[in-house]
Amino acid sequence: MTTAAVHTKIKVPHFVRGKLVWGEDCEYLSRDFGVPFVTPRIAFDELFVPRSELGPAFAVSVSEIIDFLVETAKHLTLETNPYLQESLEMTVQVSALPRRIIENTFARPGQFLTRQALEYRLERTFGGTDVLDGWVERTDPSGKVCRIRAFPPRLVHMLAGNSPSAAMTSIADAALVKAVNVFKMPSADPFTTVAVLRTMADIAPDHPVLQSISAVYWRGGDRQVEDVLYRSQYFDKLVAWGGGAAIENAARYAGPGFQLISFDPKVSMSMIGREAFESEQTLREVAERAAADVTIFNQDACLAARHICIEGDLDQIDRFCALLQERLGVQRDFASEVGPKPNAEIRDAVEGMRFLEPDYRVWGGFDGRGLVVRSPEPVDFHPTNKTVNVVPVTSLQDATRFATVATQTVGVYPDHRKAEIRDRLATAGVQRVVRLGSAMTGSMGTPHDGMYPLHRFVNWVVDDDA
Amino acid sequence: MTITAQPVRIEELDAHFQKRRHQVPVLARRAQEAGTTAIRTADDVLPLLFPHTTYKSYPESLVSKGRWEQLNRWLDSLSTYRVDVDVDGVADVDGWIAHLEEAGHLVSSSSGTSGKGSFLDKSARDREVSLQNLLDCLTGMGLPPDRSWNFIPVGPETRVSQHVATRDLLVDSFHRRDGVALPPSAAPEGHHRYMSRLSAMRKAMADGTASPDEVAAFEAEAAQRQQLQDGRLSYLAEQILARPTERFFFSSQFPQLFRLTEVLRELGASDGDLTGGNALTVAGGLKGVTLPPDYRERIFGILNIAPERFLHYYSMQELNLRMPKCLAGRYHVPAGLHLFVLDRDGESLVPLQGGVAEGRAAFFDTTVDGRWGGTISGDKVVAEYGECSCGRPGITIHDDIARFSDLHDDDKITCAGTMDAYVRGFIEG
Repeated sequence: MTTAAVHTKIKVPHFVRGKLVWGEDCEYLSRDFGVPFVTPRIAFDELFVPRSELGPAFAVSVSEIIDFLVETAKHLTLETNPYLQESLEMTVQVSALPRRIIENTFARPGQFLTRQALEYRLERTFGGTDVLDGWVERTDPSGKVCRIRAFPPRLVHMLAGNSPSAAMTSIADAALVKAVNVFKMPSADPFTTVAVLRTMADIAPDHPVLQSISAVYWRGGDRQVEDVLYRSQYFDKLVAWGGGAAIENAARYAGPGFQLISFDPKVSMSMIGREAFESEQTLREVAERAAADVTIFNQDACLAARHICIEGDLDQIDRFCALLQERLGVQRDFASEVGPKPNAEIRDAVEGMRFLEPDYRVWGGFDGRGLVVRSPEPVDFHPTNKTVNVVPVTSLQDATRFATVATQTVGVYPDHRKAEIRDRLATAGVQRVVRLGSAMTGSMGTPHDGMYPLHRFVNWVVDDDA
Repeated sequence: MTITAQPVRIEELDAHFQKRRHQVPVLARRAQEAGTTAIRTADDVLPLLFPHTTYKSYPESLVSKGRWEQLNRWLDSLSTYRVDVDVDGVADVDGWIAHLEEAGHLVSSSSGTSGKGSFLDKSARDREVSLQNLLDCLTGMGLPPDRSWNFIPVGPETRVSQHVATRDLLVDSFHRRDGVALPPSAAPEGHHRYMSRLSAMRKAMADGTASPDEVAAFEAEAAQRQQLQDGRLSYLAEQILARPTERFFFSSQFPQLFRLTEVLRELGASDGDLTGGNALTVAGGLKGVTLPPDYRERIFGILNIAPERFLHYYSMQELNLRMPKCLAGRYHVPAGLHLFVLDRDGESLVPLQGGVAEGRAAFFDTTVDGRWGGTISGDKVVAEYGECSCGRPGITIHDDIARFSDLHDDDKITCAGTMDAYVRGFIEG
């Protein structure tokens, strides 16, 4: 990893319930390049309303909130939004990804925010919006009557900082359930959440949704902050995106009245049937689709494939490996032609394998253009930085034993064979089965990490006449 | 502050390179890839140093599935002398190591509870040099091998041949003929087998193939091994307390030694009870175990160890030579060892700032015979070039050595996981 040349201190503002707060009280280093940045001191009392008060957005209708989000999305276009532009420049300084890819992630981070999409999602999660907007009466088979509400929760969100659209997603989720929120911004990107919130404040500075949100930075694990905030008296749930020491640390605060909603760190894989070898053209297409799934964000993402299980004889599979390696070195919207080089652990293990042919075979080098390693069973190093491990299998059924509780997405070729293996994958722990090459796209209103997140966010409260 | 380059003894390095580049296949390959036929500058040598992880770069399944022939081929790629050893009848990793030892490849293996072990091919000469170096270090600080002590191998004891050889050497060199009766080497057999099973068990946990009964049985076995060690420590403690005025020479690692002092205290001992001028040798740090901050004072207090009778050295299994710590608290790099202080990624030398370099330690041990002597460690060190405050010249390393793997960024949050997050460890065995 190279060191960024620019080392001026970046000023990171906090966003506290509609107001922007600047300050240089605390200094930190960013995650990937150790670029210093400064933030204001956190004034705890100002971050959120106490339990003795109703949250600012509790009484606002979902429809009105959707209006605000859709309006926000219109302003989230890189060319015209100065906050996104500023955030982009700062992100470039602290990110491991090249500028071109970051620009692509900043282009239209709100494009998924349409009224139709949001309503469809709420419909799939809650059966409609009435249970969010008020107390919905139900009568049970014995005639007893009660009223249910998906009551707005009090949430701390530990953001992962993968992309601006992830920041927008978290803000939209928080808004849709009308929650009282504190966002703990990630050191990898302490800018973009605030950029989106500033955009919203320009549209409606006093909007109850903004009155319900504070976005601040502290170093994950800082006990002076977390010992104070992580209490059931202040929050119901900790929403943790991703994994790492900061999340493990925060999870220790979970207990009665303070629950953990964890979007766990994951790995992904692909499974390819012998149909891939029907023709040279098919094989090339399959190699391209496999490469597309491997290279997402230069493989620094949960849904990027790391292992590929494939049916076929060794000669066929070796041909696939060679084509795959070629396609790893292609520039894509969210991947570099030449990415970060594989680490020493990978270099060591792969060098060792070169002496173990023909059981093991290697295509490509350690130059960041892509490395393919064929082995009789999955390798015991973690394939990353455009490194992919190809494992020959006798059948896709057989390949499902390589899926585990850590596996998130499995891309399958040909498409129709998903049905053959999806039950076995799901029982192993897999949460998402997709067409090979489609790991990055998805339908609206689907579950995420084995749950409907918004359903988990809210507090289900009953007013019972029984 | 003056900024200078680290001194590098190029000619000596090139002489070793010229000899080994035709012997060690991985070295030959790396040199060929880099286009290096001679070491002319420091930049030539850095890409040829092997990261310490190189010695565990074999696929784990070679061990778990008993593919000994292939494990030979892997080991051969890192060896000076060809590993052409018959593996017929090898049943497990201990058997494999025994076969190799018979053929003169004294394979050194270290394995942690959290990962797979490393295998280093050492020759008889490597072992000789290493043992002699230990005696030299002790003699150098005024502890000659005069058989005047009660020598206490605190352990942990294993049947790894290198550990046994070191223990035997120290017993033969220091233990009085009428000294306390040492416990029979009570180490459970099959150290590597156990360690590789531990590693395999961890993998089975990750794969989801380990059954709850298997996990329970393994936990029980680990607890039993722990109990055996504790029984041994109790025996040693009783022997020590029976002769409080005699002189004891302890050899140990800090965690095990601390446990011994706890056992002594449980038996009613306190500081001042032992009155002999006792001695101690310790290799390495805490091995990831957490001890109270004043653990050294507590150990030294009850065992009556004075600093001048304490050989604390820094070394690693990739090296034959040790770096003994002086009374000023610095580890001294001996003449046969080259030190390189590299950047975090181990790719370039860091400059000396006012005679001090801080970074990743790498070494070239000129005495290494069975392998290529160049190693990049996982340790973060501060090295000083010039005279040590103890009065002796040469390169020294400060005693606050950290492992880079412990210095992870605790604020990194990522959705891209590894299996590690999903596997809870076993109790230390």
